[in-house]
Amino acid sequence: LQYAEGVVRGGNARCVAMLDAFKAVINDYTTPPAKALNRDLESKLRPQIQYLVDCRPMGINMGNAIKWLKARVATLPPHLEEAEAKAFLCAEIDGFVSERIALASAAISALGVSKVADGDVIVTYARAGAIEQILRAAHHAGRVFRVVVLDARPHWEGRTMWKKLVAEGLDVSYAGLHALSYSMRGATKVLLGAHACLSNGAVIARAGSALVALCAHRANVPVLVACETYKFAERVLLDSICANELGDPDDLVQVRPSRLAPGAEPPRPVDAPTLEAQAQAHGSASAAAPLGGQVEGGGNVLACLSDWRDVKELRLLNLVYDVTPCECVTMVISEVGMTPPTSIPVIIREYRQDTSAR
Amino acid sequence: PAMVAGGDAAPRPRDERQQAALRSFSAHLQNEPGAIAAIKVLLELIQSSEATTIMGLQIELQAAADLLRQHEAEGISIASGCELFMRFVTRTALDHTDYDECKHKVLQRGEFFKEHSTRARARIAELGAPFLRDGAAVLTTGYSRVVLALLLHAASVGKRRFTVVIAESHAGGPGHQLASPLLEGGIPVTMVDESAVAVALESAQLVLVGAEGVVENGGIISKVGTCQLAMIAKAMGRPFYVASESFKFVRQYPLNQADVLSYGERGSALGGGGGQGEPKGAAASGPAGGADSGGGDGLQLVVRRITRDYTAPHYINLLFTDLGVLTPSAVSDELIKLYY
Repeated sequence: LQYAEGVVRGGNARCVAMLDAFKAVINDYTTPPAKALNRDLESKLRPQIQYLVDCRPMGINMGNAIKWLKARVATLPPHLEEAEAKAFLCAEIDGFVSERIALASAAISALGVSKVADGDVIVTYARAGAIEQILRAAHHAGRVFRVVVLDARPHWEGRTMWKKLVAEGLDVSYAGLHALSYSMRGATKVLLGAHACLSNGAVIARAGSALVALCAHRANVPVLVACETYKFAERVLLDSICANELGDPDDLVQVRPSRLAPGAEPPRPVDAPTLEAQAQAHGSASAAAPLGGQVEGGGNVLACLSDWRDVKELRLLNLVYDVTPCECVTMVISEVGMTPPTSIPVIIREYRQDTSAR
Repeated sequence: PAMVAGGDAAPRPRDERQQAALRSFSAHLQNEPGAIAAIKVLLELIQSSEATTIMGLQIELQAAADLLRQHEAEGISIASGCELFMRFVTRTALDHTDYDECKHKVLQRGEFFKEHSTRARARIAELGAPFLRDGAAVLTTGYSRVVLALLLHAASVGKRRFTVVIAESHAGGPGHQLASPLLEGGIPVTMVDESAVAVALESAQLVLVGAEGVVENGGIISKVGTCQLAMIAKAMGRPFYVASESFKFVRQYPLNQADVLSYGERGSALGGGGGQGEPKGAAASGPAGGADSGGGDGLQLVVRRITRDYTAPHYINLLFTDLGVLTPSAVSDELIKLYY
């Protein structure tokens, strides 16, 4: 439920929370008599997974984690006692979290730091945990550099990003996505986080990342994407909309209506769930004011959208992710190392060999 | 030296051994590429080593490898060759716990590695020769033993008739070293200035160069001027081929030219560009000195002696290696296989 409300955000956090929940399920589980643990457990897990999918479409990383978990459950040595089996599974889950999420993040941040040089101007978009770690580590390693955080509606995730970076003492500029081409002129590198990386070298990331990558590619600025290997998917997506056509259970298209703040209030750009939070944020963060201040026109536009449901020809589209093509990505940083995006299928293959050899 | 743990009596015998290693290295270097000479030195070191544990052996080897890396202008290929060899050693150490057995295995693998690397050039020549068509004019730059072997093989065994254009601007530069064996091999050679490559490419059909190092994304680090040549070739639609042994594959990933210059400067992983009598190899020799001494006189001329550049993978059509004819994106595939 937390996950549906958007309280738990960020790919890694969601995955870890989900795996924790599954650990609880496993611990509470008791094998019915005359049934094999591995098969029955799998059928018990299925409704749980369905519930999660109903709350919010599942991310690719979580899909991978679930596939891994099901494979683990299916290959449980049959002679194990129930309690041992449960303990074994929980230990495996812990291992997965620590190896492929936590340690991977640490490895990525170490590699990323090696790519941050003195005098760099690094552009990043919205908020990615991996990028935050890299920038923080580089700052602590003594590198002198500037960061430009670009941000966009509806979530304004970049705000959390710049606040955290400034708290660490970094030199940060913050701008909306419309300042993209201006920021790119002075940029030396672009660092982006990713939701998933695909077999054709494309990167799925927060909507808006593709714009940043395209502009950087045009300006000859290298684009570095940080992504743990458990987020690598064997899928191939050609553009941001076609996921449905591939029979993808993820519904990447979420329709969220934009509601206007009730009448007397000075109109502000809003979106539904974080309405009150936004109002407070505007009060406190003065740096956000220039952006929040596109008020007059914004209020009028949103006023006419408030009854969008009644307008049959109008549909609002709020995409959460977009796809950055392979050519625009210079390098993918994963715990395996720094590789070109064309090597993603190679890494997937190597990991598959590893897990099948076990 | 950083790994030598304490003890004043220890450094002197090590120094002697290091000196011996360097002498032997210089001797080998006459006939072979840097990496193979380095491997030979490391093998000799293993045979003469007095270490009694695998760890001790590894420490000695690492120290020697570090020393060799700093010594030569061919630092990059030496560094990558040494790193590959050290990985063999480490893997063997993991597989065999008995010291003597391990040492024996390492020597065996080292010999195999050395032979494999020596045969690499012949294999590359075989693979690359078919790309030189009859009547073609091949443009090249710098002196690469691999390119030389390829051209000679194509002319003699492959029986192809082609001409070679060498782009070389310096009177004593490496291009001249390349010209004489080619002429002796019966291949007509034309020399042009490096600034004339755009003109020369109009009548050339393909470009073939060697590399000092092949990086993770399939790009190459090589003699300065190669990148320009690649860009012009791409603009004019001429294929750009690189001939390189697989031990030159390094796990570096430069993003731009600045990354490669800084490798040379730090002299860390890839060896300083010792150069011939120049104070600094790849680093800018001007700015700092210029700023300091120019205080009273006004502006000073800043001279940068750049010896290496980085050619991005999208300018390269194919790489001829002993692992096969690879596209730049396949290099990363091979590197992952080599290192994991």
